[in-house]
Amino acid sequence: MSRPEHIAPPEIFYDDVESKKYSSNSRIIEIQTKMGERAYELLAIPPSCEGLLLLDIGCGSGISGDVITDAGHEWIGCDISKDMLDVALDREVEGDVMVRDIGQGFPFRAGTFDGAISISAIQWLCNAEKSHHNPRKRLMVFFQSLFNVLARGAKAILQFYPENAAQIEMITTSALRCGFSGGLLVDFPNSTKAKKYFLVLFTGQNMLMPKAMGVDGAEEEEEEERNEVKNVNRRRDRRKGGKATIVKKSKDWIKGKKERQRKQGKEVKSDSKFTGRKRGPRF
Amino acid sequence: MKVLTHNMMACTKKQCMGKGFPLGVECTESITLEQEFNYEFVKNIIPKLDWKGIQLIGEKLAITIPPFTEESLLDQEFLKSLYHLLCNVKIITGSLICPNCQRVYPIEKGIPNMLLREDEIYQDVRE
Ligand SMILES: C[S@@+](CC[C@H](N)C(=O)[O-])C[C@H]1O[C@@H](n2cnc3c(N)ncnc32)[C@H](O)[C@@H]1O
Repeated sequence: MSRPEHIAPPEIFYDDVESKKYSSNSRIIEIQTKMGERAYELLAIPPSCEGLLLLDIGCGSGISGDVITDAGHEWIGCDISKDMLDVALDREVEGDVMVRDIGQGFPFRAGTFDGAISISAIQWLCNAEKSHHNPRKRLMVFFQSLFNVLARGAKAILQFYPENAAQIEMITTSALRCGFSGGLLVDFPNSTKAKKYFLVLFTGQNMLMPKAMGVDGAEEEEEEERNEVKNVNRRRDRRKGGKATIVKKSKDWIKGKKERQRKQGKEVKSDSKFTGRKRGPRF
Repeated sequence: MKVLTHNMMACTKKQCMGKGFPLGVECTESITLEQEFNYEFVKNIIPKLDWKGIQLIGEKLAITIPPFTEESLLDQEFLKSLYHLLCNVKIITGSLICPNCQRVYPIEKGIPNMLLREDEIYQDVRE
């Protein structure tokens, strides 16, 4: 799959046509919203806490920002693509947006934001779009400025699509050298499709890294708890001689398959009373 | 651009660090939004506000807010008008001017353009 970053600079790639296409594709909306919700969850703002001011980095048409609005906060977004921001206006987002290249830092006073999120944007900083661009320097300007505009104690959660290990290293070390603590969190590390990278950054010290989702063990426990009752039979079967006793396409076989897919982070229909039932004759 | 955003903004060119606010404002078109009063938000934002900025933009838009005192925090009317100014008054066309370097940033269709030119970017950060 070709990466948008290889095709054209962001303000050219996200032109009028692409911005509209992007923002009206229900699959994209769903994925971006989910990642936005996960990023918001990782900010770990107590549910009772509303009315904060957050920053959306590379806000685009405001799909990620909508998550912030839904949580009861105000937000300001920066993006380099005017066309994306025009779509944000068409979508009547509640946040306020401006054109800015985040590789130039942020045009705000120190300590402005109670937190920041970024969904699918910062990998762009690893590319040199112009002859005078130096990705390392741009990343340093970006993180120094981000640190500066965050209130002390505030966090930043940045989801991104690294192209390779070197980019992860470059992004993470830049952040840590600018005063942040924290690090990389990888959700569903064992799934090629659902694997997601989040840079979790704290302006304060001694903060606890949150737990990743879909990591073997942790997820299994959760899953088992939820299916405790349903699984009693299967577990007994396993003890007796394992998989061999489970008939293909049977209720238990389907549930087992679904569970494996869920662990890989795939979207799976929830079990219902119809799961694995014999269907009536076809007409 | 909402008044809230203006209040948080600064010109961050290297020579303007710490001196790039409040940005001067020119406004030829503004609109009023209808976001509902959010007490928590006003309460949280007050300690962060730059009252010089509020005064500056209030004068430009001919909206006056009584001076902030300790009693203001208990004054519902004050908090409501402050919220209204911050979140419901939006500049559609105009410009922002850095008080330090005089750089002009245009506002079009409600969106300020804060992109810097190549020669305005400071890249001499520690590597
Ligand atoms: C995949 S879109 C994500 C938009 C939005 N966060 C969402 O979740 O729908 C990536 C966005 O990053 C923006 N972007 C890329 N490089 C940027 C830069 N250097 N400065 C500001 N925005 C940038 C693009 O213009 C684009 O709108």
